[in-house]
Amino acid sequence: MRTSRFTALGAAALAALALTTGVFAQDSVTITLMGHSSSPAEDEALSASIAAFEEAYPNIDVDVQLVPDFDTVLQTAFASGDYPEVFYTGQSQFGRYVNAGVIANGSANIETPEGFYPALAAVYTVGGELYCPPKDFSNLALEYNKDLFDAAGVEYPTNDWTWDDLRAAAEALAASGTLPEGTVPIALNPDIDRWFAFYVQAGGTFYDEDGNFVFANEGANYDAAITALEFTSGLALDGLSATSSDLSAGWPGEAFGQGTAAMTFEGNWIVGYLADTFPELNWGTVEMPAGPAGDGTLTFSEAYCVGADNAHPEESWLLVNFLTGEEGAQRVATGGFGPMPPREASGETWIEAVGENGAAYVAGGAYAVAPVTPSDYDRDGLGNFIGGVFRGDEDPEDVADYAGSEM
Amino acid sequence: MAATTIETVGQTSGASRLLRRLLAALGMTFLILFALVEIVPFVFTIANSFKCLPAINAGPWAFIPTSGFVECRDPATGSAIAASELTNGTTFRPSLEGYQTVVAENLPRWFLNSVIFAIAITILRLITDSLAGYALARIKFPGNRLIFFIILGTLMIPGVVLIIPRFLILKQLGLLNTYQGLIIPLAADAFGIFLMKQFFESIPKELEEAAEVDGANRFVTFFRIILPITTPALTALTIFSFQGQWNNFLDVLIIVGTDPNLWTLTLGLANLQGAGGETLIWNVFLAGAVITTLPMAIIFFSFQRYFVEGVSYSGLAGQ
Repeated sequence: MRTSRFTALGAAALAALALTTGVFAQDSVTITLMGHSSSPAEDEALSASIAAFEEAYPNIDVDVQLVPDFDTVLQTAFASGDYPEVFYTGQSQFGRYVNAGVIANGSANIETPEGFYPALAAVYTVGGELYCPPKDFSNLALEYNKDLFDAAGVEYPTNDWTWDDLRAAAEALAASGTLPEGTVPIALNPDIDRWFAFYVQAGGTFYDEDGNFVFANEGANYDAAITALEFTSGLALDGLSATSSDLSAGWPGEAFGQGTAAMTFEGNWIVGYLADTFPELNWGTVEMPAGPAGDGTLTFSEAYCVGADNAHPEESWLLVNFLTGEEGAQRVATGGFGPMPPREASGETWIEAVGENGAAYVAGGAYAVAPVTPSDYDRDGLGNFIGGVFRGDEDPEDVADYAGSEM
Repeated sequence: MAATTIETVGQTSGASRLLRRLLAALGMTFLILFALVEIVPFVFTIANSFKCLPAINAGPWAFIPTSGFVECRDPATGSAIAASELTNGTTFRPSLEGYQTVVAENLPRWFLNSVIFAIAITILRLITDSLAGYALARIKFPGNRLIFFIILGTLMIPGVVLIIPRFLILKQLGLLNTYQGLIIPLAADAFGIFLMKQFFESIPKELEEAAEVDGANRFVTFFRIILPITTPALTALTIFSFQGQWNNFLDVLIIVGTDPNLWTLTLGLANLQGAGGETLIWNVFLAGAVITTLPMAIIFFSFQRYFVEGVSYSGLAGQ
């Protein structure tokens, strides 16, 4: 009696085991994709892409986790040793994550890497190997207010503008007397990312061949840093430009939207913002003006990275390639969201989706560089210093010395 | 002679009355001024939460709504409606866009979660903190002081340090992304135990001795005699822990951050704030802020007396 009861129990347990293994034999794998929320339209498009992926690969489930304060959550997960299979990585975090060994090298797995903008792929390349395929990116361009230019009788900016043209136009706008009270030719903040933009146009570089951060350190880079700072602070000191706070705005894009600046230098995030908030604004874009060393702009991007310690690497790369491959880039492009698709082939589609103002941002993709600073770089301290130069309280040389020092 | 004296007296009292009135008027002006400084931002928060984005930028000071809600986008073209049609600087055409967006983003659920977390943690803390505080204050057992110092010692550890260990423990226990995972670790706190212990020590021992003579055991004494006279301390504890949990961000982020169904208002709002990328979607953000602030404002006004008492009792604001 007793034995038979045990036998029955054993049989039941075996049956249960068989059932569970049977389920696992289906090979249903769940991988986690962690990121941060973007605009509602972008989040929806991501869900649609994921749904399409799950349909194409029925045995893979994707658990999408879009979290607030994403960097904190991801770094906690890294610290715990158990982190998502796939996650977003911003360009400023990429180097740290590679050093921490949490990102898988994608050089063997990423499909058609040659389709990415070379400058963009370079951001996520270490020692010649592409670790993470870029997700999307934004570039700086020059935005101008057509009505203010028309009223002053000044020619619109063009893609082949130089610094001299920019300054001449700003002077002509100021001299025309047609700018409304409280309106300046240019909205420009004394922040490090705008200094970087003009620095690149003056021929400066951020990293040497060995991967050392060489901003303003010596020789040509030091000169470029000073040339850039002298040019931008010169605009401010001569009353041709003002900061967003001087113009009672939260950021230069807002001042531009409110019509208190005829020009500004922002990225393609401004397109949707102006359309939603200032639908009446009559504006255009051109590429950033060329400096003494030619064209230059900055790029801000994110990538999909695959976790190094990963139980499902194959499935993870399937997902990442699905999202960033040629079709994936095309899906980003047709959405026409703030950021641009990472592949050159999809640039035209994106311009069609957002309108002709998108062209200048896409054009910058050919030569943009990523202003990635080391994690302990004193950006805030430098920001205050630059502010001093813009007010005429600090000497550009001193600031460049500090910026190029080890800190 | 007498008449002049009376006259002088009358004059001085007249002058002093005038002075007093002047002072009162001055005081009132000051009070009104400060009340305005406090109230005006709130009024504009509410007003702007009902505007379309172009109207917020063109007429941030407009605070008189016209009747009837409008759509912020032209239904035919999908483009935003121009600011000139939405506001004239004083009046504005209200829209529900901000509120519709936050509700569509699951804000009611976050609200409910905030209420559940704050209430559950507050109730548990009232129980555990008062029991622990009482034991440490009144019961003599070996290690009593040591335990108390260890508890006090935890107050010196910055909360950030505990985040990763807590995350790992909860992960091992399988409690991540659960209600209990968030509630249990926060169910007792050192500050509350300290607060309760200090209060219990200020209660005369004779009260308990009298209860004991009447045949009450420890628990009866505690619940029937001691607890009822600790109301000020309990109120303070309730307020601090409810307020603290309502605004708690980091614990909630780490423990339930990856499950949007368990987010609280603080997390949800942070998410809405990030959704705009470089820019804040003002009407959505302000609508969320109004929904988050209003319940706390209502609670504050209803329990204002206790709030002030609680703060003055503990000598601490916020913890």
